[in-house]
Amino acid sequence: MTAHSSLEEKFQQRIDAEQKIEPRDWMPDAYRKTLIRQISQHAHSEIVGMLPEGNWITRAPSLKRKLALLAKVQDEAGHGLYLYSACETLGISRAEQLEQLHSGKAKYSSIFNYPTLTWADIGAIGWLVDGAAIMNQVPLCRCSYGPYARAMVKICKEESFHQRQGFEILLTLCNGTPEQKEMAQDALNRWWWPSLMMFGPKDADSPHTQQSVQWKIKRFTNDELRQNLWT
Amino acid sequence: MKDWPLYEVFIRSANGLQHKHVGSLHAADPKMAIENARDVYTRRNEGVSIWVVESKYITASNPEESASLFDPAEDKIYRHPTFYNLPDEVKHM
Amino acid sequence: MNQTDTVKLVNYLMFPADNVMILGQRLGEWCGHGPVLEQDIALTNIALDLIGEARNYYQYAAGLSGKSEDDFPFHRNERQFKNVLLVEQPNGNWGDTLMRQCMFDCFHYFFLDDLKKSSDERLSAIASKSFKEAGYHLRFSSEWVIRLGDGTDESHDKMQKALDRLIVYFEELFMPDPLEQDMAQLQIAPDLAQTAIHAKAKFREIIEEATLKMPENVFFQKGGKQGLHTENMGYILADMQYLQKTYPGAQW
Repeated sequence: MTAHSSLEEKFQQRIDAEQKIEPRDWMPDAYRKTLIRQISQHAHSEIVGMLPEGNWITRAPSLKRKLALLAKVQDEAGHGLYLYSACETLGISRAEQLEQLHSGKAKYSSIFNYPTLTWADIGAIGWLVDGAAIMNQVPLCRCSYGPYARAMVKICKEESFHQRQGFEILLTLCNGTPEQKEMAQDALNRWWWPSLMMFGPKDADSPHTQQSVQWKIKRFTNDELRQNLWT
Repeated sequence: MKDWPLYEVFIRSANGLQHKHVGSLHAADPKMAIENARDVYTRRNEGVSIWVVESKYITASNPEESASLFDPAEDKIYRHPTFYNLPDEVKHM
Repeated sequence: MNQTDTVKLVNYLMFPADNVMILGQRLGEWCGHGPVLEQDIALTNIALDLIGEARNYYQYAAGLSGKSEDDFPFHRNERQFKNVLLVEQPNGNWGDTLMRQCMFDCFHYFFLDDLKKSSDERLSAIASKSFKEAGYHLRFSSEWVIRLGDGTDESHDKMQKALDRLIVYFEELFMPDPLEQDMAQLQIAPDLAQTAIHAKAKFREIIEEATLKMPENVFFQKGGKQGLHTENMGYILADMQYLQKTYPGAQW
């Protein structure tokens, strides 16, 4: 057995024993790369996700809604920051991560490319998109990489008001005028499929999933999570 | 701004408790780091006191030496109160 | 309180309320567009504080007049808003925003310090809460003005330009409307002449430390307190009041 493969074996044993991996611990290159890809993509999604919702800050229809939306979008900036920091512990600076975002090398969740056409979209994003995001995020609190898991604990705690905020907006619209109801229905129609697609490709088409599950970076596959949302 | 150094942030959540590492952030100088920490890490009343230190000034133990650093403490069972036998009559000590 | 006094007080509340409402609205435009994440978060915190303060005044006014808190920001027109011209100025670049903020914070901090002593208990309580926040805002904006003013040639130049452009709106903060004067006499509102002494001294000190040059022979702009705004105001309200105006009577 080579020295390297014995290191890898020990590493997998630690993972199997539910031990957390910390920044200075030995880790396989592929584990590091997978984490950098996943965490930075997650961070970029938080930051890009500020934009469609941020569009409605100046137009929020009441003082209460304006304050809640400001606080929510601000939280997303915080979450992006926590995640960039977690990623920095793997040896890539925030500037480099942003560079990769700008050059197109790094991806972000494509759901944030959809426009927010009406106020109801703010409700739909909060309810559906954040609802789906939570399904993804809660298991990540138990991710094998310590800094990522800790960032996710903080994020999940702070996210808990986001979904309610969205739900309340929609509920108010549904109890409102016919025009408001129509606005809510239209937003749900447009956000339903994109939010289901947030869980990523089908397991069969997701080349990284199996390895990520084995490393306990992911605790569930894309399809398992997608199914969980509605059960 | 992209050259701002990284700072580690430690927050005391209430008087009587120790400062605890909560994460990191970028800032131009320590003063800004304190303010950024206040805005980033205490938005929900998480703290009453903040420490920041530029990350490069932290010296950390090497995980590869963890066996020699930490394992020797494992067999010093006489440091723990359960090592000593007391007669049942002694209720509190 | 008799009815005339109540009406007067409600009208008076629009001065401090509209200032922080419109400035908060402006800062809200930055959210998601700040130069770095840490500063984006910081500026949004200030926006939250200011809109929160505005809400406190509006709620007070609502209780006195039988209206709702949202009636004031969402159902008045340009001529009814009493904010100063400074706060409605566009964000410009980061330096412009921080210069505008610093001018306002110098005023706001000492204004609230005086308002804490108001004979009106509710106003005094609102001021006490916001005073702490304003202290932090002033610290934040003054440090940025100093950092950029006393920074590189480019940042110094930008800050000087921001100062030259915005200084014309500084004085209005301290020019009392007759209603503000009335309320000051009743010890309900601060005497702005007193506020001015401290606020201007503080601002000069910051500008000096920032190695910037205070413009001379400035022709000051005013009118906001009487509802004569710059053209910016119509756009701010068109944005802010869009839903309330498009769907009259709807609940949100």
